[in-house]
Amino acid sequence: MLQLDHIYKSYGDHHVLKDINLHVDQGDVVSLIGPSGTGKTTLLRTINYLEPADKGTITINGISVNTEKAKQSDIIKLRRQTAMVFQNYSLFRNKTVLENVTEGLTIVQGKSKEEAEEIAIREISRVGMADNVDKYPYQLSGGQQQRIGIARAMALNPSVILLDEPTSSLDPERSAEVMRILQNLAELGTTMLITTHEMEFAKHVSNKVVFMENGHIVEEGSPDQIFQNPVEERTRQFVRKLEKPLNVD
Amino acid sequence: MIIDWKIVIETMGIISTAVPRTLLYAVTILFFGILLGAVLAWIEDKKIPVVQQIINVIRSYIRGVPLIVHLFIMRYAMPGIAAPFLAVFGLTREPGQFPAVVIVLTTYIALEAVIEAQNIRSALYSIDSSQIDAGKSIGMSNTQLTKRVIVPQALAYAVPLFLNAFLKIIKALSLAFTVGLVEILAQAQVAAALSFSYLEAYIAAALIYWILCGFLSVIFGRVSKKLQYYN
Repeated sequence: MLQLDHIYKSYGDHHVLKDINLHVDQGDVVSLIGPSGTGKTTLLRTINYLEPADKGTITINGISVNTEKAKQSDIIKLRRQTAMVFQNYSLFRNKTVLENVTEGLTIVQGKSKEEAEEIAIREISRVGMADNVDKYPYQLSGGQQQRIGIARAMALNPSVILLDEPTSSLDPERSAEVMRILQNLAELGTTMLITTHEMEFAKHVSNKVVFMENGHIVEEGSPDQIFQNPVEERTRQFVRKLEKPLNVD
Repeated sequence: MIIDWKIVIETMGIISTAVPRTLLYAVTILFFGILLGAVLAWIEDKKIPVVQQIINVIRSYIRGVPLIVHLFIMRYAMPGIAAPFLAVFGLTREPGQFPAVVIVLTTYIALEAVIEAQNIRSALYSIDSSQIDAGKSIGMSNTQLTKRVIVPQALAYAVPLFLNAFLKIIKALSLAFTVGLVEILAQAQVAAALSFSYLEAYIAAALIYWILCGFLSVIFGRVSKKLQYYN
């Protein structure tokens, strides 16, 4: 369903992604874990072309783009297969909650206003924000904005939702709320690729965990494999540190 | 000191005839200033090596020299600059006969363009990259993104700056009498010369400016607030 082949990305001399190969099946919930600055966010951004990769092929739902020869029309086609949820929510500041969700449906997918609103209200209700449709983002808390970010992504009915540390700007309570919503989406069979530091989510909600470091995929496997029986020494060290974050004797 | 308020009020009546004209000059200056400023902002955004340095020098000159000095230079330079263009149409003008309105509008538009180029650039830079990411991520094309996200947000930032510039232009036009343009202050001087009531005439001019700019600031304040509905 989603296939990445030999993805490379550099900023000057800094190689952020080095030969990334990844396969995601329909209904998969894949957690990308690893230390900060390791290329997880960049990887997500290359998938929907917010950052063009230097080399490699991205295939989503049969639409394949060679990043060295991509035309603008290919990029837009590929992008329309995905939706993204951002760490800083990234709602349109000049649009209400409802407009934030309908915008992609009417402008991009060409749906009628009525149909778009029906879908939007369904998705906004799913994230428990039905009472806030007329509010602007500045009137919402971070957690509420992120819920709308999720509703916006879901409304587009994409092949895969890319979530970039969706809870890292939230306090633990709001973070748990958002995680519960994502858990519900996973149960509905939504395909998700999520960069996260929430290991509980990676362990219990995702069916595949990918450990990345220094622009490489070090290891990928089921949550059990990664957290209980990692093959690679580096994964083992990372997981051990998570279990004992404080080195107190 | 005795102020004859009757004369003040009468003079205000005379001066008010110059208000529509002054507003028209200000609108023209702002309109073309924004237009040229947008072109200038676009050129600056390209960061073309030599062109950028030239623009920087011109901006520094324009900002560093008082307005009245610009006006005097243009008064004596413009007839010479314009002569070849006028000659194309078979026209000639003596320096003394060169229309003041052309001198004033050209000078003020050039100065305004420099200011507006910066306003336009800062309006565009005010848009957070997250807004662009959001638009692209839902599959918007560049045109859709510009039309639906960038322009509305940039306008909400820039229009209050444009409106503020309009008030500044109205007041700055009071210097244009020095090259012979009859706007609000020049009209007051004409009235004063007829009645010999200089104090009353200038008080009348002050009141007209105050009422006009005060009224416009209230309206502009409301417009600006409306544009910022989402902040």
